[in-house]
Amino acid sequence: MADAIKMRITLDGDVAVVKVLMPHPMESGLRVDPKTNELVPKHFIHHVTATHNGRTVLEAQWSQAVSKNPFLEFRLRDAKSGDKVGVFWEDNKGDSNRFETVIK
Amino acid sequence: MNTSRRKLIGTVGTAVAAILLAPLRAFATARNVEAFDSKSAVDALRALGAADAVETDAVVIRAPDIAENSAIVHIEIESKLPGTETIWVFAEKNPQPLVAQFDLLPGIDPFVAVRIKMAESAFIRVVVKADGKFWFARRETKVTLGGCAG
Repeated sequence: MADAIKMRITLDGDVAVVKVLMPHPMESGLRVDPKTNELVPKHFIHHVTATHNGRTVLEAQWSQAVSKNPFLEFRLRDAKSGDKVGVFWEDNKGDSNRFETVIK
Repeated sequence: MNTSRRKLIGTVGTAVAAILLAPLRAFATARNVEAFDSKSAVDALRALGAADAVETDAVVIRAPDIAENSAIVHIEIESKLPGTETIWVFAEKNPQPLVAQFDLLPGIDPFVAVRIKMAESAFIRVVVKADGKFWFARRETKVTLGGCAG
């Protein structure tokens, strides 16, 4: 199981600025393992979904060229304290993770 | 009494439907495998149907002129085009230039920030679909060391 998703939300009026960190190796498939001298297989988050009070607001599809431990920032409209913000990811090996929090 | 029981059944029914539909909703957008596998930005654009995209100032790309670490290039994208539906990010000289696609649904600003790997100094190209039309903007970022191996 991957490490927990981290999320920081700041309210700017009725806009919620959401910053997300998703711990993940994001292996490009081009890196050589120094121990075995063999290429490390591609292993990357290929799909991310963000929700606001359970409703999908953003769907992202990524390649292996998104940086390790991906960072994502997005901005929700009509947001207020008490709203729920969620993020879900799935990688190319079928592993997945989700996180939901409440805007303070 | 009977009314509240009906209400309860209705609520439970809706909740069950929401749970059943949730996995489908998470994958509403099919991945354009051809575009992601393309070895050039031109081929990827063709696969997306965006070969005729028009250059615009209304798509703003914020990225460093020189990236200190090519494995972590922080970019911010803002579209000022009304009806922005989708944002694509390309690093033009990466082995597979299409890095990300963002589908924006109602309730979100036409803005995203993300960190990407760049194989070498290149133009970052952002393509936006707004009101059914394709637009693009480009911005050059120089890197000191290749990042795709990282």
